[in-house]
Amino acid sequence: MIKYARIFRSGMTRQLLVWFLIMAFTPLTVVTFIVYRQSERMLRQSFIRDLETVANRQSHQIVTFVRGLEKDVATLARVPVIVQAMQRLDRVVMDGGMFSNAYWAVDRSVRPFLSYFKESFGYDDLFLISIHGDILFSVRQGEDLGSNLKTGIYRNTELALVFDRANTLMETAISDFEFYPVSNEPASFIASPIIDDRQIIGVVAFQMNNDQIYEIVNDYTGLGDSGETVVASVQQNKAVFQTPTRHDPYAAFRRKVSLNSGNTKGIAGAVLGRKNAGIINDYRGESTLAVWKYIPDLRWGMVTKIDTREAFAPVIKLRLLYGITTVFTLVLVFASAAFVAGGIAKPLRLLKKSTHVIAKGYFKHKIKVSAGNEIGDLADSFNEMTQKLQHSIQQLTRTTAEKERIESELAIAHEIQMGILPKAVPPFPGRGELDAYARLIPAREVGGDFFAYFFIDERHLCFSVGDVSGKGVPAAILMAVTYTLIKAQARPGLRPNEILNGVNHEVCDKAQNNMFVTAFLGILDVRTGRVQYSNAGHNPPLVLRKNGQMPDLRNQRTLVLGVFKDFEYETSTVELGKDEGLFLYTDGVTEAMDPAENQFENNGFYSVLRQNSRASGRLLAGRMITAVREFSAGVPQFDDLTVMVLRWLGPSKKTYSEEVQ
Amino acid sequence: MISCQQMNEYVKIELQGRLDVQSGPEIEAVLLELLNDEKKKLLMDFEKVNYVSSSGLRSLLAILKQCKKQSAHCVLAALQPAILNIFDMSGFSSLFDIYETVEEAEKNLK
Repeated sequence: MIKYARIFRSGMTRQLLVWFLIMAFTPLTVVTFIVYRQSERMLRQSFIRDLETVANRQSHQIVTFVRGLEKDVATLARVPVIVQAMQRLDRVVMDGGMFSNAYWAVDRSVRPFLSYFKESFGYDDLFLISIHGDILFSVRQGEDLGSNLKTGIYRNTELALVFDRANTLMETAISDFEFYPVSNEPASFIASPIIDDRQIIGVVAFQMNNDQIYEIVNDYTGLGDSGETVVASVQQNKAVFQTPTRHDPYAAFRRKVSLNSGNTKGIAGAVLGRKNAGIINDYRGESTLAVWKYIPDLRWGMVTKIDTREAFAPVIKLRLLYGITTVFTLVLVFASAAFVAGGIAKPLRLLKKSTHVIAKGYFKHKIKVSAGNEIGDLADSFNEMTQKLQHSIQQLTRTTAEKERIESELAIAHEIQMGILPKAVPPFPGRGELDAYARLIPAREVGGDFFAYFFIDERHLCFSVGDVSGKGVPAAILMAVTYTLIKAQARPGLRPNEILNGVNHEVCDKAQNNMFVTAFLGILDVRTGRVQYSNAGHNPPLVLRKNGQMPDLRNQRTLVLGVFKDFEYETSTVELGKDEGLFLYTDGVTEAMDPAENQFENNGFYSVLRQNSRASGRLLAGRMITAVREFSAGVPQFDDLTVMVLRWLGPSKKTYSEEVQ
Repeated sequence: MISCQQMNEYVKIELQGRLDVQSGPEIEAVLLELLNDEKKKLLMDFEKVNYVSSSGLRSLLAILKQCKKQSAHCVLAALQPAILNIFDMSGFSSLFDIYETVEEAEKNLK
């Protein structure tokens, strides 16, 4: 249960639930509603038909009964026995008044027959009335015997009414049921004129109670458990019940329905002559399905009805069935929503939890979701992704390690490369003849520039600046090779071109991928200031003359090292005066760029040289490098930068003295 | 920037901008492809080239070597003074046939 409660808290489950409910209840409600309405209508129609049948049967019975009575009375009025009895009674009363011996004599002679007649037809009483309204004979001999219906105390009874009609209209008349004080019960009267020789000589009247009518309406055949028929007549603007009803044995003449309310349904409508069917509230306040009609013969209204509770019991059952189905569906919907959501939400939750785990870096974590749908697929692809991610990260780690290794190797290579180059400042302490200074600034960790200066013998300084085409490790290796070759080839007695020839020979063997090296190599005689030099395709160094001129050092023939193995380099000679010097550099200096891609060579290179032509080598080199850096500020430089200054200070006294010795 | 144009008897390769570590390999590839297509006469127009680095020279050296291998003839024309100075300095002017104008180079293409 706790588990389900948790499931129903999830948004998806709620959504599913709502949809499921809509899906389940929409058709259920629609179908139930339609069936309900249809059943109700059908039941109603069928019941109304049944009720009409019953009503017709009963009204027919009543009419037949009443007409039979009328016929009986009319027939009886013409029977000679009655006619003679009437004549005889009329005569004895005329002669001797009521209750004379002669009257009783006549009474005795007619009584057996009339008594028999009353009994055999089931009437309560039989009257013979004179045309003047005197009641001359009564089988029961009640208090009304002898009274006059026109003037006596019974002049307002129904009996007086029907007598009057029969007497004046000369036709058979039937009265309403009304309480009759003599018999002390409701009674109806039927009267018919007694004719003799086309002349009315009296009226015969029967009294009857409502038992027989009640017997008719009391027949509930086809009316179920609650159905009944109510008959009523109009009295003093009220519909008065004429018989006891099924639900109220004391209804007759006690229950009355006012006609003032304007109600035209049910018994009120029926007594007013209307005929219809519908659902009405009856005298008990109960909802009933009813048909009502008017019975002209009796001037009665008749309602045949059945409680809707009974009539519509099947649809009420249907309502119950709907209720049960609703509960059942609800349970089913909740269960299936929980099941489906469980099938979706549970693996999703698991997936979510797993992604959190993976997000924390546990790439070995596998998602264990085995839903046989898209979620399962998602889990599978997620696992695949994690695996690939793990793989990638491993690879990245390896690559990073590799890169770090290479970087550290490059750093070591840089150390080694820089270690090759001369480091001592000043490089030649104790050598008063010259001021030498050089600096190399690599663009990357390892580059292609190099410089060298060293004494071949006591009076000859070999110096060189070079640049390997290309960058990086291959350039650095070739640089190291070239540097080593120069040091190896520079033997005493060799001219610069001879040294370069040898170096070129070797470089041509070693250089790959069309790499080449530019190099300038000179040999300074520190006693005389004479410089012999050979240039292998390198930027020509400049001579810093005392007069401010700066001629460059070229040969007729030149070519970079590493192209033609048998190339013959050339040696040229330049004489330096005391305090005159040489400025050597690589193209990293002259080709340094500013952000507008202007080269330094035409934008400050010569002015720096001119302004510092008398400065020490160290100062000149430093200022040149500073100027280049300022010029190319903000632009990454891809070339190494090398500067060498060599100034001849004149022959050393020490060396002279040595020579003198 | 590089564009090739097939003339009557030769292919004219017009270069533009900087010939350095970036553009060098590209030019090298284009030229080597032309050589593979059995083009024997190549004219490289340098009029619009304003800078040649040592890497650029290396690419030109590679092209030259391939030309010699396939006995093709490659000439350079209309080099700007600064570029010509670089060629002179490095000795590359002795390796290549260089002419002042495209017309002159055309005439000397054998």
